Amino acid sequence: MLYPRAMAKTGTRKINLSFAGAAILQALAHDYRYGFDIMDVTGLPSGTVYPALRRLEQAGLVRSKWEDQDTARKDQRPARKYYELTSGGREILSEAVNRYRVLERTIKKVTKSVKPLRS
Amino acid sequence: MAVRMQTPAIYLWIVRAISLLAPKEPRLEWRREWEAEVFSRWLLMKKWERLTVHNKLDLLKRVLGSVFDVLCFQRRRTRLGLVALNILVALLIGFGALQQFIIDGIGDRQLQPILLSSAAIIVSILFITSGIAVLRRWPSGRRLITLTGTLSIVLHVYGVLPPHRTMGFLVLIIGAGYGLVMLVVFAWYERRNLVF
Repeated sequence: MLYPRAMAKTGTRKINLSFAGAAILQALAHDYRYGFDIMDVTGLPSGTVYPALRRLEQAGLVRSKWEDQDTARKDQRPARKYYELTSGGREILSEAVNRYRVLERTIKKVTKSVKPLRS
Repeated sequence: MAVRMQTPAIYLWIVRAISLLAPKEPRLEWRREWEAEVFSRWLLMKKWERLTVHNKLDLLKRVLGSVFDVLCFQRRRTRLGLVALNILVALLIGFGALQQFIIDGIGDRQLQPILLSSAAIIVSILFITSGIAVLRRWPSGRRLITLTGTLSIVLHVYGVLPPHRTMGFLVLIIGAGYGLVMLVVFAWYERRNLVF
């Protein structure tokens, strides 16, 4: 397994949230709403962020919208597509954060008990 | 004097070219989203006077990464392609092994070719089974692919080395090479959740 996965349930569906997925949801929760901004804040490559966003959207955890044309025109640029969390996404994110927190605590405990090779 | 690129035109051309790989239906929206992101990032860098070589390369890396994004649209096609390739390699290995089994093994009554060709037949069956596993998304598929790839590498390297040398170098390239490619490609695809 390449990524630790957080399992969560939305309604009757089971969602297998990867570390990348959790990081993207976390970025969206912190108001980083555009693909490139999510890449900046998560450090994930474009080839991971966009497919993950699409999968999260299909799972109903994220929704996308095109920004207002007037706003874009005012900034002299094309309208961008932004993403936001749905209520299901928020729910899954809080569960994933708790799980990763437990994982982090466990790793810390394990690494504390391991003696370093060199002092 | 070096000419400095001061427009995002080249990036937009790359996005347009890559968009041709996307299926027709989402192509326009995909292209629109990527063009808007590239253009906005370029404007931002210009505004902050950060149009450095490093930032331009970073933007190029992101644009080139969109190839993987497009490939995700083609999940089914990519999966079918991998399965077809698996079956083709399985047939090539299986046919060669069967020929060796009959001619050298049964005809000349040699033990070594019988053992090697039997192993190659098993590997070719495993290749076909792995293809089916990918297509049907078997839970054990990942393990099966790792086993098939590893076995194929070991068998073909062993078959080419002395004192056996019953396999040619072309067979080594096809068998061991494809086994290695299979392991790498599936690891990469799995990372992007394309196969399982």
